[in-house]
Amino acid sequence: VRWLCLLFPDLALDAWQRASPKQGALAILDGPSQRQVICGANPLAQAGGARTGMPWAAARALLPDLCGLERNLQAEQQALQQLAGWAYQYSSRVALCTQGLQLEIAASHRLFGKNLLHEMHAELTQEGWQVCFGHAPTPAGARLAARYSATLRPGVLRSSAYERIRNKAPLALCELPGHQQALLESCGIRSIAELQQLPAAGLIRRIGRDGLRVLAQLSGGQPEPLEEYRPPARYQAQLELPAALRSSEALLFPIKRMLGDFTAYLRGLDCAVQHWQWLLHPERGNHAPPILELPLGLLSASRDPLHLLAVTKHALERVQLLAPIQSLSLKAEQLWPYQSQSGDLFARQDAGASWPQLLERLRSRLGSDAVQQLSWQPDHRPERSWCTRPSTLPRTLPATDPQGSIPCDAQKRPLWLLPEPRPIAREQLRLIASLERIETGWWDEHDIRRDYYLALDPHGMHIWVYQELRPPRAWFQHGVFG
Amino acid sequence: LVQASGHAALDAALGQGGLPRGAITEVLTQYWGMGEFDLFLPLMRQLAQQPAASAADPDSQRVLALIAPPFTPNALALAARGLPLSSLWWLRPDRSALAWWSAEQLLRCGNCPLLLFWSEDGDMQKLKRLQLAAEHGQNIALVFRPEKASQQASPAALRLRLEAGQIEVLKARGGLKQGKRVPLGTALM
Repeated sequence: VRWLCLLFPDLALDAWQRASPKQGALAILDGPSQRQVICGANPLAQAGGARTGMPWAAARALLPDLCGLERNLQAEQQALQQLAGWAYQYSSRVALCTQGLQLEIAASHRLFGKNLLHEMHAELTQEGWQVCFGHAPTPAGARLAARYSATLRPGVLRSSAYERIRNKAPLALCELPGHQQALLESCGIRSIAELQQLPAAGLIRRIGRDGLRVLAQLSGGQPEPLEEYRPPARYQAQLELPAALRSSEALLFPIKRMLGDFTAYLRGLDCAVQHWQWLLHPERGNHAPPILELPLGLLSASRDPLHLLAVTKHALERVQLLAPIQSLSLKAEQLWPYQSQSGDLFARQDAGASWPQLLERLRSRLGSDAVQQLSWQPDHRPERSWCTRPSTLPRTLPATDPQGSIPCDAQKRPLWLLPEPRPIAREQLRLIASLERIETGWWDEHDIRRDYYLALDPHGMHIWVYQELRPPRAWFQHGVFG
Repeated sequence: LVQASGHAALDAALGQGGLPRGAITEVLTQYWGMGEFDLFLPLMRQLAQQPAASAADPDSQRVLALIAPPFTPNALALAARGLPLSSLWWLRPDRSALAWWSAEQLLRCGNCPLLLFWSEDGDMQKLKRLQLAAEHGQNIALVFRPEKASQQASPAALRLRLEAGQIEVLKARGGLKQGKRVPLGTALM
């Protein structure tokens, strides 16, 4: 058994910073509002002198244009949950720990080989997370090794093996309470290895049963109960923005991030999504109702981030933001098992999009009620003789033609209808032929009694007109031939 | 590479025996609804027959697209005159730019043998893009435009003017049949 710990040393900072492409000097603040201290600072802020633990007022004096954001514990916890979903693709045993994740990797290491860490590191860095790795035979050992990695110089892949650092890791890195660490240090014990060499009988008197248990879990003498991560069946994520965004174009950056998380999560579960929803909030937190709900759907389930992004982008182009956006949420109620699309790869390289793909693109850009198919129904009233039908979901099965016999009068009807009959003056018309009398619908309160004619209008166009049989016997144009 | 229009007199007047595939055909009319839909109904009927495979496979579905038509297509009358509605798609983009975009996308997609596109605006550049897309997809693109567009140059392979009772060939690729007039049978009734 081998455990890997992924520690996110700048979780508080990254959770905020990754929502925005701009990288001004930024510090994350923690503590009561009168005495806020910095708990994370980005490189620009650090270069200006801001340090972790420094009071906000002092940092502000050093760097007047330093931006301060309050730490968002809820967002951090949610981010860890999401990362756990992502990590689920590498291992079925994933658990959350303070500021990080741990996963059992013996099997996946065989599967993914040496590149596992490099792959994870590259993917996390791209998604805006700084990460340190530690691996060991026990979860506690992996955590300790990862904490040791966090003390190394950032920039490269930071990874440590417990066996190698055991002799040099300071006591402060283990999970003993602070006062016990101080006590042990006062006895001249400097490293974890030294501590482990002490006889248990004597040690128990110094650090108690609880302390001994911590050490036993570290060495594997006692198993550590872990609450293993179970992916939820539905997905929900929220991203709060460091600064309010006013344009849908600017929203695309955080949206891309969220879709990156979402599709990574889907990969972890080997799932795909067909319907999801964006909620755009004017304020941070969940208090304010969203000003915009954007339900989106695909014709078939997918987990391609670019595809989901394109659909979202097209939908955003059609809406107007009524207020600046401070927070975004993404919800998906149902996830589907992923089915890879094979075979199309070579056949369709230059043939443009396939029809189902194109239909989806058209629907997302034009709006689904602007892309329709027509059908007829056996009703003599022209306005009820046709209807639209929604494009079939989830797969675009070709629609079938309605069955039944078409009323024989229908051949005399025009190819075009006006959306609504339009009043027209009798003097403008030259009647050419009387076509049909439609007198029906008395049963559902939409009864009509009309005489239809083919007529020529002043422009010389053949139009379809009718005269109401009821007084005042008005004339209407209802269609156009041709 | 032509497709018979279903009107023998018109096909004969076009020299090559039909409408060009892989190219745009411009149809200019003074008003919408002068008979342009009726004129091309036989062509639509011919091209709308779904291939047998499409029942199971949406990828091979036949698509005839009406983009931004001036009125509501009368489904019952179309069905009565033999057009399978299952191939017909009615697109109503709310902006002209979206209409041109949709037309180009449809032409590039291999499923759309015939496109009918009504457009109030249009210029050389937009039409050229459409022409390229039609060459790519080898489909028939009918672009209906107001009569005043006859003053503008156009990359269309064929340009027709539709008037009450007749069609005038304004331009045909090869330049042979220009100015020829074809009387339009009373197809209406």
